[in-house]
Amino acid sequence: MPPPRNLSIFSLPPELRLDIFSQCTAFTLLQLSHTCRSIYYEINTHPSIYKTSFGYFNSSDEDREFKSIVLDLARRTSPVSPLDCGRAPLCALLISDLSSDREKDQFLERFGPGEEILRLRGVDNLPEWTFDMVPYNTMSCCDTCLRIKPLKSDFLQYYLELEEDENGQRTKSVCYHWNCVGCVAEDW
Amino acid sequence: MATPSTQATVKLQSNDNVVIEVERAIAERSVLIKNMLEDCGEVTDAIPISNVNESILRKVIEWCEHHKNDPVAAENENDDSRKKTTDIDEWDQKFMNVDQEMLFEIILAANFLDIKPLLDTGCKTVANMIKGKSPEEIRKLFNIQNDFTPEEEEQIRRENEWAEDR
Repeated sequence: MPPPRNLSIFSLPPELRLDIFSQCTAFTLLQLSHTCRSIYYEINTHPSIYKTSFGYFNSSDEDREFKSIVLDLARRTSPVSPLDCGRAPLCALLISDLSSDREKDQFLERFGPGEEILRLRGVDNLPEWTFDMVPYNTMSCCDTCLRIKPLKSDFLQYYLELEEDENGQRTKSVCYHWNCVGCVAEDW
Repeated sequence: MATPSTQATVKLQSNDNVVIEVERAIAERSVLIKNMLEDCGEVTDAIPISNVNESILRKVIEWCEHHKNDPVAAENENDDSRKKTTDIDEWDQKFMNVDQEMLFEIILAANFLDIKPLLDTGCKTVANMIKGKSPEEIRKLFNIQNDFTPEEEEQIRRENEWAEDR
C-alpha cells in the first residue's frame, strides 16, 4: 500500500495552485501574497491572475484624476531587493472593490485610515472630528458599496437615515455608517 | 481509432490494487478514461489509475455518479467562464466537506483524471476557505511558515502604504 502523502497546499503542482488563486478576489490574493515568500513570488510573477480577479483596480474607470494618483503611487512602490519579482507587486493601492463585510473589516484593519480615525466610527464625538486629520491619499472602504475610495474627497463621516416612528412619521436619526458620497446621494 | 464499444461497465484499479467496477458513462466523466476507451475499444482488464488510491477513487466515482447527467463542457470553452464565480452547489459543498488532505487528494485526482468540473469545484472550495482571512489566519489554515525577513516585512509595509507622510 502506498504510504500516506501528508499533502499540503505546497504539494500541489504550481499550475493547480494558480488555478486556486485564479478563483480568489484581488484582496484575498493580496492577503495570500503576504503569507510567505513562495506565495508572494507565485502571485506577483503571474500578474494575469490578479489583473483579472474581482476587485482589481481598473485603470479605465471613470475617475481619472484619482486613478492617476493611484497609478503614480503604485509605480512608486516598484520592487527592491530582496523581494524583487521584476515588476511592481500587487499592493493595497491596486484594490478597488471588496466582496464582503469580512473583507472590509480585514482591509480596514490592515490598510484603513488608522486606529484613531476608525475609533471615531460609531461614537458620539464623531461630528467634532475633521477630515484635516487625514493624509491626502488615505483610502477607506464604503460600508454600502464596498468600494475603496479616497477618504478625504469621497467619504462622509456619517449619514442621516430616515426612520418611521410608531405613528408612521418619518424622523431623522443619525446612523454612524461610513459611506461614500455616491452611496449617500443614492440613499437620499 | 478502434471500433466504438457498447461495453456497459469498466473496471478501474486504484494504486493500492483495488478493482472497482463502474458504469462506463460514469467513468467517462473522466476525459482521460473516455479517450482511453475510445482509443482501445473494448477493455476487459482493469484500467490502472496509478495516481489515485481506493478511498479517493471511490470519492471521485461518487462525484461522477452524481454528475453523470451534467452537460459536458465544450473542449475549447474559455477558462475564464468557469473561473469567475466561487459559488458551489449544495451537494458539492457537502461532498467537499472533508479534511484538507483529502480535499487536495481530490484536486490531484481530478487533475490526473482530467475531470474539469470536479477540479473547479475543488479549487473553488479552497478559494472559499481562504476568502476573508488575514495572512496569519491563512498561515494557520495551511500550516505555512512565515519566512519573510524583517527587511522583507518592511518592504511589504512600504508597498502598501497610502502616503509618504503617514
